[in-house]
Amino acid sequence: MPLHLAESGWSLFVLTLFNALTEGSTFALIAVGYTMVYGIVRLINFAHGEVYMVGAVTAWWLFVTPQVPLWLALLLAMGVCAALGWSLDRLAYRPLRNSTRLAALITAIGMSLILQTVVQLVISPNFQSFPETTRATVKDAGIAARAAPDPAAAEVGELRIGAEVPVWPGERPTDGWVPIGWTRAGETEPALAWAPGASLEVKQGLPAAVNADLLGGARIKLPLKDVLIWIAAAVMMTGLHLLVQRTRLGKAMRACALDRTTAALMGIDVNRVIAATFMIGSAMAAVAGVLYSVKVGGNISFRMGYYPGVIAFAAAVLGGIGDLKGALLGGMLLGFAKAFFATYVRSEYDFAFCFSVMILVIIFRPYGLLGRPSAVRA
Amino acid sequence: MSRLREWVKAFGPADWLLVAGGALVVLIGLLQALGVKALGLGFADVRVPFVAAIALTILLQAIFALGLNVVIGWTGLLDLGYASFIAVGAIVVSLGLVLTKQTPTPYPDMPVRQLVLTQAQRALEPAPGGEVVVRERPDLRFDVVQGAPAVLAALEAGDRTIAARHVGGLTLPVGQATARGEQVFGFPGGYFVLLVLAGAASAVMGLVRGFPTLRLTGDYYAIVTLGFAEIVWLITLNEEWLTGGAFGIKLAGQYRPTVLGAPLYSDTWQYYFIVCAALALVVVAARRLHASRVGRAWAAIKADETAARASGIDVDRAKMLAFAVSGFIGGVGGGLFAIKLGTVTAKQFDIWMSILVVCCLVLGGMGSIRGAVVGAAMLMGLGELLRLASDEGAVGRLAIPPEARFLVYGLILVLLMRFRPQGLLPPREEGPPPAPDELAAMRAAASPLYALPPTAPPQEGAAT
Repeated sequence: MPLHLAESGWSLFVLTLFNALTEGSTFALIAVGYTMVYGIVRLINFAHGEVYMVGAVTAWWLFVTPQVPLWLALLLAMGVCAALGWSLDRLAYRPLRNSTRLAALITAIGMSLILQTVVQLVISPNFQSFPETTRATVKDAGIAARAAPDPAAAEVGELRIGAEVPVWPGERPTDGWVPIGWTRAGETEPALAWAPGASLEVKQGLPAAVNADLLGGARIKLPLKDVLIWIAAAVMMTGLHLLVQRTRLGKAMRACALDRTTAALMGIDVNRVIAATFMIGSAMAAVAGVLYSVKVGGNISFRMGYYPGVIAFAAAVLGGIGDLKGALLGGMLLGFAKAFFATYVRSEYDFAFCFSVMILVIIFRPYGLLGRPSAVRA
Repeated sequence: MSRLREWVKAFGPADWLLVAGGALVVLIGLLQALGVKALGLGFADVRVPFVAAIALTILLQAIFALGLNVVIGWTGLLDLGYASFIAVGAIVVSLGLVLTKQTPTPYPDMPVRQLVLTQAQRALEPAPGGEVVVRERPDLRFDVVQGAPAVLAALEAGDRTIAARHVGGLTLPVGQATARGEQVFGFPGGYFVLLVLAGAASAVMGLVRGFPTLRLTGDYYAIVTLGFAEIVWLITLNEEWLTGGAFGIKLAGQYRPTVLGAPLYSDTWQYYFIVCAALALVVVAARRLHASRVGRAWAAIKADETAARASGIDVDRAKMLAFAVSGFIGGVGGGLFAIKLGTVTAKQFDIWMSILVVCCLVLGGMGSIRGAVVGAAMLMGLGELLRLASDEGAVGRLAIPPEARFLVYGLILVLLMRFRPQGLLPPREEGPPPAPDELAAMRAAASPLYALPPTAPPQEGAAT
């Protein structure tokens, strides 16, 4: 819980509101994938939560190991997830298009298990996070020169091999420079200067701007990483809306959602449309996965996709499954429900509350808030 | 007798395999019980070894699979939250055992003629505060007060203890230890009462969950059961006053029920045969249910719910019955499982456990009793093998982490749905369709309308 319950009154309310917007945007981004796939194939793509997870894990791995910049990691993760969504459809779901829906659902569960286990075996079951700050590991001890520009340098210490030291924002040490520790005037944390002479290994951290506070208030903080999710959700939902309403592919999608057989008779390549749907939905889930893990920190693991996945499905149902605006509405409502329940009632039960909402919606209004009752119920 | 012969004649290879497996399971139990008896030791310390532990895992999983089969296989509804029924059963039984522990009756320090260390002490590092059974009074369990030094002394002396260790018990010379204890759960048959209670509690939960979801089918039913199970899971995990939360309820020695004169541990032959008997009962009950009127109603609902409703089947009642039966079996299974677990922690009854049970059914063949048992045997056997491989590195340099089995489970689900959706042992066909004249005779017996000359095809058309 990023919120401190010691906060009170309106500041707590505002912080919860920000949190709710973030959660809601995340749910909405995932829910889009569910709702588009369900709208066309009538399949709960149970593995969609795992796609979200794979997105976050891929970006994390790219960020930590080959040290790719964050924006590139995000783009690559989107690509990986789009490929994953395509192969899920091609390998698992397409062969079952004409079998029972139970078979497809069980296959989806199987794919979910496979993805979870593979990720667990690859990255270990431990929780991971995007490193907050850039850190350098000393590979060679010793000090060559005192290169501190700061006259207030209090002490110059020798750094042990293997010691991990923070790097100041704006400084990017490279191999061949040795860190020298001193303490800046008025600061207790040891700072570093970089002198030539030895090697060190630098691990990049999140850019300082991501952590920067947009409001700068003492009690209310609005880090850029929250706003990033809001912007991503808004831009991608608008883009998707335009895609569905204005392009040929979108028209084909709408036709397939109405009636797949007739669409095929009209010359639409249904399999291509479904593949495109899976790819778009997966890429959006990847964005949600990456940005949400950047925001929360320490949540990246093979199980991170399970609850958000189910809740996002609930969001899709709540808004009216198959409806893009419904996914946004449902995601936001559940995000608000979760955040406010966590802050004001009991944080252990925030997901349980979301599940209850989902059950009630499915029982009493399975066609969703924006949908209309139909004769055939899913 | 001739009926039995007929029945046996219809056996296929799979049935013989099942019979052989069943015989093997019983043999393992008997060998353990008798073998140790032949060594001149009592029953209280009979330990069923490793093989029996694997057999137990399979037997329990088969019970779960049969319970879930009622809903998935017969009624055709995908239940993704079966672990919550098992959890409720296990928690009810362990709470019952903890609550019905009799008021401690302190015994004065008494010299003990012979001490047998129970499972908890098998690590050979007995500490004060452990527990000890007196051979002559297995219903009494003692906390070791001064026993620990005596145990160590006996070990150093190197007497009978080492020989006794091979059968799992640890026997000490006379008069070496002093113990102080209390009487345990004395009410004979209390465990079975608790099992029925556990079943009832789970059945009630099945009804509570089932009633609002009567109208749901397919994906929506599956996702609601999943959500419900997650809520139950979160509650059991967070309500520490009830379930112990992450630490769980530990069934320490004084909470173990006494059956046939011995406290029930997972490695006693009593427990082993209770589980065997429970599985046999569940199989028989499942066969009877499937052949009954209700079983027919379930089959009709699975085939087409609307048609079933139209042909006068009380669909709601039949479904509620399926939920209750399924829940009951799960609860009893959970109650049995609690003894094996020793410490009932809520955390283990998660979605993966539910999916594992589903996986057993999918592998064996949904709707098939033999399939459920075979599926459980194959999956749990495989899981234990993989666990063994990861424990001891037996599979060469190929270090397989235990989590890898879930990869196998996932592959099984995907590949079976693709290539053999009916599973390995699908439900048996109902026999060849009757010959035309036979059919005519049956129809004539059923309704005089069918006795009309067969040259009137519209009736055939109208009937369909």
